[in-house]
Amino acid sequence: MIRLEDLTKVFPAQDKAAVDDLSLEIYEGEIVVLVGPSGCGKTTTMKMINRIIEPTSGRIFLQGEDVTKVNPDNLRRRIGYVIQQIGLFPHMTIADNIATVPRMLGWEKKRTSDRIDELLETVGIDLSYRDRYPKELSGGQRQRIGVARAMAADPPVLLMDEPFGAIDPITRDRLQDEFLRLQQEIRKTIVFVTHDIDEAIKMGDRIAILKQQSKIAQYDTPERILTDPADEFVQDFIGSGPSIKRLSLSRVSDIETSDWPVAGLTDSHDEVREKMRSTSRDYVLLLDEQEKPGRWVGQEEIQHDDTPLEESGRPAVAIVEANTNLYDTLDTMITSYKGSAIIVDDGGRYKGVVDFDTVLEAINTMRPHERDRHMSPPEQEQVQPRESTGQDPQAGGEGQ
Amino acid sequence: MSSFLDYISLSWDHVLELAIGHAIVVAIALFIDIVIGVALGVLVYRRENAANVALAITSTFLTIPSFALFGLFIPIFGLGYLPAVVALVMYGLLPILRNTVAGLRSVDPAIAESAQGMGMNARERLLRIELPLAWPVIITGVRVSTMLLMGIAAIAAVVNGPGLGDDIFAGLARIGSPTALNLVIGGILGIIVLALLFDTFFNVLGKLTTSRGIRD
Repeated sequence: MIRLEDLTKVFPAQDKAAVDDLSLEIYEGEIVVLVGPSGCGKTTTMKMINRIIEPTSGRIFLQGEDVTKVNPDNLRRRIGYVIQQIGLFPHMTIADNIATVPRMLGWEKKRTSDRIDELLETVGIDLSYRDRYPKELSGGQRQRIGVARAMAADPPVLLMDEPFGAIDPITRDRLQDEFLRLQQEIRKTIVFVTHDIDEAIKMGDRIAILKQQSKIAQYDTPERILTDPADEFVQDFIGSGPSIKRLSLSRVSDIETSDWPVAGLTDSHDEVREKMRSTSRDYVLLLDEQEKPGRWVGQEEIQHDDTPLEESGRPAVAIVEANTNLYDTLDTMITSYKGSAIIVDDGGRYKGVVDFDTVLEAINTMRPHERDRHMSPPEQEQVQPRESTGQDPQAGGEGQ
Repeated sequence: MSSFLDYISLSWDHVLELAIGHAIVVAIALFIDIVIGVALGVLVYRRENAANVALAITSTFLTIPSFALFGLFIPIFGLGYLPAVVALVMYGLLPILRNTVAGLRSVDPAIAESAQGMGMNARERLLRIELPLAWPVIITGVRVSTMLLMGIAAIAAVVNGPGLGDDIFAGLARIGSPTALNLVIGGILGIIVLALLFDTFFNVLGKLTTSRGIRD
């Protein structure tokens, strides 16, 4: 979809190139994240794709066409562009902001208007906001409108320069999730620049880790970068706990749940005791009438027949949804009483329980590549003891 | 005081006639100033050196004492409307030029960049984004020029130009005589009323032509 060939940019005042001989290929429908330390040239590279910055040498191909020398304004109407400060036009309504490119392309009024409604719905902004002005919107809302505006004319490519950088972490998390959901539907080709490796891991189908002058340190999927970093630079850039980070790429619904006895809050004490006896566990999870997790009741507590079940044991609080990633699940489990987390579906109904044992099992199946890589006689001794330590999933990094 | 009120009730049509002349000459000069000032501003705002030169020249105009400038124009432009308008155009240029440049430069670079990133060419960006956003600042410049020109237009009397300056100078020449003070005060009050009227007009015009999204 996009191909960069020997792209170089030298700024007049500097003697070293900002981007030096970069060649990169981006396939249709994938999100490629350009990530690297400040000053590595990632933003400059992205801005050369739509020629906001003109390359000093090299070529740019879009959908097979050499666009290095074509009229830049026409080129940019085919590419969506979202920047960190968003840059909504304050003197225009939200509707007019979104309609900018369609109008430039000569769309009829009805088509433009329908598209505006469609986009507002897609980005989760109420249609009543059409005639409001940017100054009336919050940062998160403005960012959504910025994305809607970039997608207005349905360009095949989107360029996003730290689009979620200026937003608070809570909203940013939500916007990232929503954007990923959106991408499932629209499957655009997206080039995304960020300095945050965690954002890159979360958002990217492939990540290009760039060094100074935009030299590629590694260009691969997040999984492979985390389990198989190309060199020390990449390792340092990923930061601590790469294997823990790897967990954020798996969902709790991907792993097997463990076997916990379940009963109802409305059951009798005898029925609950029966359930507990039939398994080897010493705790039972009681569900309410809607099958939502209610309380954990233990061996000891269930003996007190006079205490109603609603007051026995402890309330179940460590609950995660099925699509939660393993990293967040582990986080929840650490705060729970018994080191386990209850999985619920999107209606809040009980699905299963995970504990440290099952998560450890999952981690072990994720690391075959790493294990194979380090399978030489002296290091084999190091691997064995760690596995039998049991409860500690902290990877620490073998041989680092 | 009572003699002034008597004077006004007798001579209001004369004062009004002069006021209209005053208003017309200022309006003509303002119109020319807006055209030249905004056009020049658009040409130079991106070029540091050109902008500095333009601003320096127009600043210099303002420092020339008006009395002297009007006098110097007599051999060149003669008497009456022409020298008055030329001089007023020169004096009114700086505020409008300066505010046009400042206004255009104050447009958030992120906005300009996202406009460029969407494929707007330079002309579209100027007309649809930068000028509308700079407009409130430009209008403020126009209002400042208005105030300046209202006062300076009174000096046009030395070149037999139109306006209330005629009464003011006539009165000053005869100071001591009974009607002199009334003439001067009448002239000054007339200028003040005109200035307020013009300012209100531009204020309202500004509000009407400024998008709700950028009005505070």
